[in-house]
Amino acid sequence: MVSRLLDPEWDLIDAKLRRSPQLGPAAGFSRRWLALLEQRREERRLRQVRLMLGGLLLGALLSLALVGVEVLRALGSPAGLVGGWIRAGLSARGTLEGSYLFLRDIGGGLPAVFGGLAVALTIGWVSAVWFAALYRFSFANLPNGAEK
Amino acid sequence: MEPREERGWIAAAQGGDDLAFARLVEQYAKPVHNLCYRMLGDPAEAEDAAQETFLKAYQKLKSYDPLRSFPTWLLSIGAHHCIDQLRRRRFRLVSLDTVRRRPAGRDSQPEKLVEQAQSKQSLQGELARLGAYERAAIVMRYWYDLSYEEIGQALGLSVSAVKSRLHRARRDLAAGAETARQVSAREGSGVTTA
Repeated sequence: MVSRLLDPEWDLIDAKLRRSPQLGPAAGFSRRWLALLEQRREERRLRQVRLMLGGLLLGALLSLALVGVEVLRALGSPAGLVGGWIRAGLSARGTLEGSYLFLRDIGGGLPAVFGGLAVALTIGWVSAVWFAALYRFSFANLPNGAEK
Repeated sequence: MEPREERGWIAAAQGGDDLAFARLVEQYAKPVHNLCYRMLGDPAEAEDAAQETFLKAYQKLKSYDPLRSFPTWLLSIGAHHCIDQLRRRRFRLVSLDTVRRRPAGRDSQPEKLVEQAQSKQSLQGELARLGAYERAAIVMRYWYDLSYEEIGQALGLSVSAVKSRLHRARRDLAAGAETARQVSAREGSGVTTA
């Protein structure tokens, strides 16, 4: 009964639906899609880097906590802890003094330019390792202010 | 686009060629955008939904079955995305006025102009009264001429469920149109008697 009453409206709706055009997007839709795809990839890379760094930090903190627990257990008391630090300091001082005397004896016979060269090589080596680490951890892909 | 050509672009995109998929985006932007617009009723939201549809399709491309029609597969992803959007929208505390006054997104002027050109008793308003699945079924049936089987496959419904939803959707649209006609007739007679 209801359907029969609605019959004319039904036909009108049918005709209206069939007449309606397809509405397309504004020009440049695929270009915008490619930009969005690139943006999502960048976000995913950043998320992965953050996850990796977070994991590393967590691992470092856990290791530190384990080492700390072991050290505290070995020392036993606050007095023992301070005593341990003093002993470690004295031991380090002895090692440094020994190294200094050793280097002085060796270096005495060499021109000063070798010392400078050694320092420069060390700085170069440390820098190379640092940059390699940065590259490895994908910092090269972080946005650096340049417009996308 | 020839079916063979389309298969070539799909294969290239499955191999990781972004530009090949961009060709497919260009080819099917209009039907996917139209589906999103008819389901969501807002040009800016339709643009975002269409973009997301293609992103999802790109991510799922490896699982695409070549025996299935590619546009139907795309429309299926788009319809499900829009159904999710409509579900989320129900929980958003945004008044209808705010939605209507919201400035349109970038590059949406053509749709806006078309929308403004449509009459007050627009089809869009009538579609908005339907449930999400009914709306998707109506759009797929009338704009893309999909069979009941294809609609069922796209929406994850049985053929009888598709038929009953389409019947319900048409009945609701007709009832809405009838009510609107009666109201305008009453308003018209009120004006003449005043």
